[in-house]
Amino acid sequence: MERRRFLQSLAVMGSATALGRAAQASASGAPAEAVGMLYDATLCIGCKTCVVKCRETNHLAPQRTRKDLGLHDMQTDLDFDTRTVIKLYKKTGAGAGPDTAFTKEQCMHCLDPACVSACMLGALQKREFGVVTYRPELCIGCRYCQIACPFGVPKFDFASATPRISKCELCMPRLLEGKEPACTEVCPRKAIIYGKREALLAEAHARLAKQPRRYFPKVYGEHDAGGTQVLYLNPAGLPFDKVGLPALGDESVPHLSNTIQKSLYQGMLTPAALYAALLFVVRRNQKTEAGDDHQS
Amino acid sequence: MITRAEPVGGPIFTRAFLVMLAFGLVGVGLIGVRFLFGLAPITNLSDGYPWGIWKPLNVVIATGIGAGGYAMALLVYIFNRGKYHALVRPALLTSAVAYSIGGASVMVDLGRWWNVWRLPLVWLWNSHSVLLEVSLCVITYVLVLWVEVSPAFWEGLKSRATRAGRFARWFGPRLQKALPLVIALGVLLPTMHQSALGGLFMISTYLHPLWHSGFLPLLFLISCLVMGYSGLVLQDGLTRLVLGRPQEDDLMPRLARLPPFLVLAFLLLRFGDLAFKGRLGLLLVPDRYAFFFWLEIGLALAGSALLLGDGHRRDPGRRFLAALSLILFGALYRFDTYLIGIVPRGDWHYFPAPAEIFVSLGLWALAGCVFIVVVKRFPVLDAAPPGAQTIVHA
Repeated sequence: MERRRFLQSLAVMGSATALGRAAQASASGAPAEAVGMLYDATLCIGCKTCVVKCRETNHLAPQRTRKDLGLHDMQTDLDFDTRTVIKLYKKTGAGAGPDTAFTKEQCMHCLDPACVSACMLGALQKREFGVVTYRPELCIGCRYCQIACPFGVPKFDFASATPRISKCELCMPRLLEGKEPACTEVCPRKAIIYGKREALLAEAHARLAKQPRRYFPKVYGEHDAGGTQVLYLNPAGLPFDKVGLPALGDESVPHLSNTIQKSLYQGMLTPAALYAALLFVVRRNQKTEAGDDHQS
Repeated sequence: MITRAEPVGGPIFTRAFLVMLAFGLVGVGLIGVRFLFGLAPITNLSDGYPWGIWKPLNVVIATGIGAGGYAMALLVYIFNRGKYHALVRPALLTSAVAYSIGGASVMVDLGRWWNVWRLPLVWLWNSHSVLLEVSLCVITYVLVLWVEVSPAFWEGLKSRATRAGRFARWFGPRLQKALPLVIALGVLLPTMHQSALGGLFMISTYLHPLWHSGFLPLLFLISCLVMGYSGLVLQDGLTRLVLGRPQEDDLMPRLARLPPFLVLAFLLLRFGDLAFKGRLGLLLVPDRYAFFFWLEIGLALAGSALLLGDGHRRDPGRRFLAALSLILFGALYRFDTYLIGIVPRGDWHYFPAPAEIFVSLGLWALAGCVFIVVVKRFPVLDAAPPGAQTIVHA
């Protein structure tokens, strides 16, 4: 993987057009082997079995945000020890839509992830099955991924002298063993299911077509932020931004940054040319200055 | 390079120096705590505010002020305004010191600093990462700046009979020959990383629409030039006041003509961009974002207005005030982009912990100490030109 990227970048240095093509290839569409999850908010009963199983599988410490509640494991948001969380939506005021609904948060495994674009040495990278994974040995702890991720997924262990980033990696070790992620395996209502992204997308659309009155008419993640590998269905009358899934548009989040970086640098050709020009000017000016120094 | 620079001389350990040194030691102590116990004990950083005041203050604002070396190199070596030559060396020293604060501060801020050694490994580079570009450019530029300043050391040492003196006599002239290579790098690298410091936030969805823009790189580049030139004017005023240096009556008023033009370009771009995106309405919303936006604009306009008119630019007090206002403008624009304009997802709040402030103060104070030692012992500041007015120190 790294070797391929290095060779790619060598090719890029040779030709500006090659860079354009390489970037296009990585940004367009999902890779064929992309897997993902589909969360159906109309099926979730908020039992949090997924949260418990996730913690157990990834060896994360119980988290007690509310110390006054004693023994209960009461995570209210994603954090360093919580890679998935179930949140309760409550309607405020009158209007359409259900009074309450649940939503599940974890890494969305974007097709073109902002965190991967931001990460300096590729500690965060899309690997097998399109899963965004973390390799701590390549991470210098700059936390730029936290600035970049529009879903607020990567979390950092500020309390440690040897901190790491923590995020859902779709139970990568389990996937490599041919198993499914812990959270989908234990969900008693099949509210969160695992599969190939293509298949999940087809399933989501089938549900929408079959029971149009049950659902909000959109699959979140199909195109949002350039497409994500975790997809969402919401109950009728409940737009996704109300449950914390931001309206990001169909362009991938790093698109603007990548495009401007690319056009400014053209695979380091622009800086190289600029350096040559600067060197020429500096040398010429030094000669003329030495010539008429008595004037200054 | 022909210079008439000379060491300022005088005692190092003045009362002001000792106060700064004390602040520096407090900062170093706190940094020690951070390395032993992590960021949480001394900072208020959180997942909602992963970057606190250190990045904007010690990296982005310090290097903005430190852009003086870049601004002067551009003027003298690229646009061939040789008459400003005497200002280059002090400007480079300020830059070297300011950029060193930035570098040191980043090392304190990085959670997994022991992995930094991997940064130069080309095969790991992610070409999409704007922060990688910033890191590599800034690391290289700190070295470039100290090399650019170093002729002052070789000149200062070469008359000595010690081993250091012999080395200076051997190395000084050789470095002089290779200097154009370094100077060109000293213009290229800041162009890249100063724009990239703004470009960093193009990827973020948390930056308020008054600041988020595809023009962030260009706006940051212009703002660093405003801060760089103003920083030189400020530095001239300060060395005059604190070190009793002769007043610079010819070059400074000329130099002070530049910032208003840069401010004009900045404002045209800023408002044009907001108008084009249909975001001007946000400027009328009575919230803190609009307030800080207008504060930026106010500082920019006030500083520029003070510099209009040849007579006004010759007034050192007025010039000093204008430079201060323009530096605050650039600093606030950068601070807003990095902190005040950040709208985190969820209910997060941030105000710097006392220790975060003291670490910053300590780093800036140490930078001041280094600056003072160098100008007092080595030829950096221009010698008094004939007929210059000397402020007598009481």
